[in-house]
Amino acid sequence: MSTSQPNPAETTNSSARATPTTVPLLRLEGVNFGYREAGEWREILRGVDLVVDPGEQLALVGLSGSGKSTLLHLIGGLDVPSSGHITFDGIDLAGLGEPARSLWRRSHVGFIFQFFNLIPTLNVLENVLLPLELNGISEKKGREMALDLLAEVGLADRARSYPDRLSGGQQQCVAIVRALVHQPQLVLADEPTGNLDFATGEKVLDLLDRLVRALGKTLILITHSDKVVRRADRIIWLVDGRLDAAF
Amino acid sequence: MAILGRANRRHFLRHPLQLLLAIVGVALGVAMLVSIDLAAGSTHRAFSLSMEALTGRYTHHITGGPAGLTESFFTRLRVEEGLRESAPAIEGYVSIDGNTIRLAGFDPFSERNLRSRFVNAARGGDAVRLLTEPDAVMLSALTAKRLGVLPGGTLQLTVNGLPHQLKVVAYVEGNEIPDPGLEGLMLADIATAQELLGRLGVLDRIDLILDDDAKLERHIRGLLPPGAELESAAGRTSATQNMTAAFELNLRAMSLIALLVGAFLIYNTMAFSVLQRRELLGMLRIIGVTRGQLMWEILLEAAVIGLLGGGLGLALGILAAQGLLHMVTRTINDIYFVLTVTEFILDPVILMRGLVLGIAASVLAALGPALEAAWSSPLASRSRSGLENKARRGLPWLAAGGILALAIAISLLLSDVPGLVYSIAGVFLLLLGYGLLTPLLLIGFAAAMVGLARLFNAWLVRLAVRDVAASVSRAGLAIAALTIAVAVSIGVGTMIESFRGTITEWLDQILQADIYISTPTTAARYSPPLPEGLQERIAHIAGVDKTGTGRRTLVSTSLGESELLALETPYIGHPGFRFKHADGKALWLAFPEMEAVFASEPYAQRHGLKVGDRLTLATDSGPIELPVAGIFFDYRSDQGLIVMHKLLYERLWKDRSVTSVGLYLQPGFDLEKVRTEVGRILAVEHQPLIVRSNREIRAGSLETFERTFAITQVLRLLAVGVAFVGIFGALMAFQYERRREFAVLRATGLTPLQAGRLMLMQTGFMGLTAGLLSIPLGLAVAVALVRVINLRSFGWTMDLVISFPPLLAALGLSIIAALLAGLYPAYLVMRVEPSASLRGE
Repeated sequence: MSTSQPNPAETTNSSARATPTTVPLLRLEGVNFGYREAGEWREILRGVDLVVDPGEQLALVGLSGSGKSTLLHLIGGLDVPSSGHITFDGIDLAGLGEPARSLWRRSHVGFIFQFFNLIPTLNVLENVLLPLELNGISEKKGREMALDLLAEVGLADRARSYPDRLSGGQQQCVAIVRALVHQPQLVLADEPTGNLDFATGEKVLDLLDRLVRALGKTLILITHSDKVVRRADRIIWLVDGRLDAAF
Repeated sequence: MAILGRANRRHFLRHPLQLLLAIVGVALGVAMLVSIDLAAGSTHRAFSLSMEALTGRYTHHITGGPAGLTESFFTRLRVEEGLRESAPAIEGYVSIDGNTIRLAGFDPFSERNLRSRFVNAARGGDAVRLLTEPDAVMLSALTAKRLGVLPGGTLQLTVNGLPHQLKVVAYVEGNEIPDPGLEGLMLADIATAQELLGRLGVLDRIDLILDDDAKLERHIRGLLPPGAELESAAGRTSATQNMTAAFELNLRAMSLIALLVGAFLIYNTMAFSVLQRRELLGMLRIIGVTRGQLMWEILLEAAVIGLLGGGLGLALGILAAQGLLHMVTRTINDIYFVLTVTEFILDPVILMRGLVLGIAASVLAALGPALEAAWSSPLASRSRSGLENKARRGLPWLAAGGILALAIAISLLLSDVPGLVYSIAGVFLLLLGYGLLTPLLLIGFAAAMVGLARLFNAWLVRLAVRDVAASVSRAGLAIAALTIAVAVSIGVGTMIESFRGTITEWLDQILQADIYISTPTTAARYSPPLPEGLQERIAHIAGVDKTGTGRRTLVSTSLGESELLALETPYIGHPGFRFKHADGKALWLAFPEMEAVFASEPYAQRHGLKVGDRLTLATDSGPIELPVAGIFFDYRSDQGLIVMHKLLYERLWKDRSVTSVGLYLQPGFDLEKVRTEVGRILAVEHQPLIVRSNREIRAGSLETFERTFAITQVLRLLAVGVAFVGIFGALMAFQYERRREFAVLRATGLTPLQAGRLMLMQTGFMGLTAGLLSIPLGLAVAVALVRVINLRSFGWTMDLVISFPPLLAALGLSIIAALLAGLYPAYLVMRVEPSASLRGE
């Protein structure tokens, strides 16, 4: 789907929408995904076409079981589509082998999950340093980058604490820092406020919004929340594995 | 990747018990392997040193038949034939306060030019006193200290039942201080030794240096008197050492089984730790850690565990080896030859090998879980149901692998491929193959149990069993390890019972006399003759119906030096042996007139003899070829022996001496009265001899048997111990993994006691499954051990005795072990706080 024609399955907020001349960061063409379970084939995504421009903030919405998380995982290179193409910055992700996708993922993608998924055996600073270490950043420079970003979110003084000592909100803030510290082009968030109370969730969203926009990153975010949807540049509706124009 | 490493290794620091169990598993396996290797190594070295001490630089020996060699033959060789590099030797055994000491008589003049060890040892003026003073001997300082005697002191000892007093004139000085090669050795001038041993004018051996001269060797062979043989020193040493080869190989096999069970334990622990960290590992993969990096981390962990466990295992092994050395030496002395081991050798090669094996076993055991963790999709690894589904999908493949292993095992065990190693490999594959089938069998058994529980409306039992089956990736492994350990216990236990039953029956067959008289034997395979005319004196005692005699000696044959038993029994109607594939009664009836020999089964097995084959014996009448008329079952030793009638023996060797007399009493006559009368005759004759009843010999034989298998019993218990540690680790991991599930159950209404009972039911079910599954495997192992391993190792055919009590005991052991292992996890489960455990991360 080219950016010159609006997709009826998408709605846009009035805020920034890339100009037609921007080269897309991410392009999905005819993406299908399914798997076999107990002898039956289950189709999760059907013919998904999507284009994402650099710096966009997309909200991915739909009912439970509509395929949102699966779509996110495909975009993040955690899985490969049954058919179709996913191109990121000119690279066909489906054509990469698993090791190449891992290497691509570590430098180009940051993940944020509903249940934070911090490494329990690493402290806050080490959790944040891990993506930097994987990307070959020296320890000294990595510490500077990590502490700077932790200070931005007000958690520099908790650098030595382990995740189980932090509140839910604090853990999600650390997860956000971990997802952004290595300057990925794309941030994927799967219901980042789903496990937080309203007030904390708002704070987390503010933080995420601020950091992503400040750093000029592209964000695709799964949510059930209207308030989250309102912050997004574009809303993508998934119904039964398809981008549905009826919504 | 420092942080990546930390992320994984801190997991173990947070679960120290798990780490400890893994280390202990490796340690136990390595300890068993190293302890047996060290014990065997020490006995080997002691044997080599003692042989070296006795043979020195000699390249060849001439040995005689039962009557030995004459001094005149030595004189002829040395003077007439000019063989100056030759020396006479005589050896025997003496008993000092219950210690068996080897007496070596040597000629200092003959050995002087050969710079022999004895001449070097008996240095200075003290050596001359061996020649100039009567009853003078020398001992090593260590032996003298052990016996509590100083130079100048006297020794009270017994030789061939007769008391003697000797003077220790000096210590021998060996090449090192102390010299282990001289340990347990008493040196005397050859004349003194001949007098002590009652063999004046007789030599056991003439030692020679021939320097690879084949022509000279042939010439000497032509000069040999009937019954004498020329053999190389190396060949004699290795022939003697080879006697214990099968015994040691079986010990090593048992220790390897322990390492196998230990490896299962490590696999258990690594698999559980990987499974416990599946979310962590999945997250690492999402962040961008590659498969290779993940595999490397897990294998590195395993190597470190292997190193720590191996180090601990070396320490435990060294401690255990010292106890094992005592047991191994005692068995060798009981069955094979006299060996004194005073030096415990810490062979660095053995230690390094043990450590390397421990590390290798850990890394290999972790390979499966590492591959599983690395190759799983990052998303699937975070899903428990995905994992179990994957495990279930893999079960048919695992079972196929198990069936293949079983097929190879059966073909190895049934085939005639020579070599004990293949048979032992067959037993290993049997255990491994069955272990691979266990998870599938667990699923089937669980389904049956659930059905049964439904019938009785036992919902808690149903829940417990279903939970275990639903966790086949964990439970299957733990049950497999316990099954193998219990099966080994059943197999070895059945083998020992079968052996015991066979020995008992065999003793019934061969011990037909009521009383036996012999000289006190101080060494296996060596029996000095009884005083002349004793049989006639004893035969006239009131109550004695008939007497029988036996002459046990070593003879040269076309198959090498062999033990010969010449028998004369009064009752031809009752065969003295159970014959293989033959009419024993007919053979026994023909025995007195037979110009043939019987061969024991071990002898026939070792030399590939069949009935009808011919054997050449070097006799005093020249070489005689005799057919093998029958093969009989015999469990005296695995070296075997040949038997002929005493009349034939006397014709061929001109030797009328006997080494044992059996008394057959008149029916109803009081055994103790006859025994008292025998004692009176022997006391009057000043002949201290051993007089034992049929029952006493039987009890003594069974006691030797029990001692021989003491080592096997220890190793068997250790294997079960290792499996218990494994199952405890598995259950602890189980409990940790499922604390949220238990929290949900508690929140739903299960009481703490019910939660604890549920845990114990699960562990009890695991124990029951392992116990039931172990029975067929254990019986298969027993059949393999009895019908294949023992037959190929020792040449012994045994009757397989299977009885239910040991099988029930094994089932009970399995259930109790699992329940005991589940006590602490059950306690932890009872303490689960539902609210805390149900809270999200």
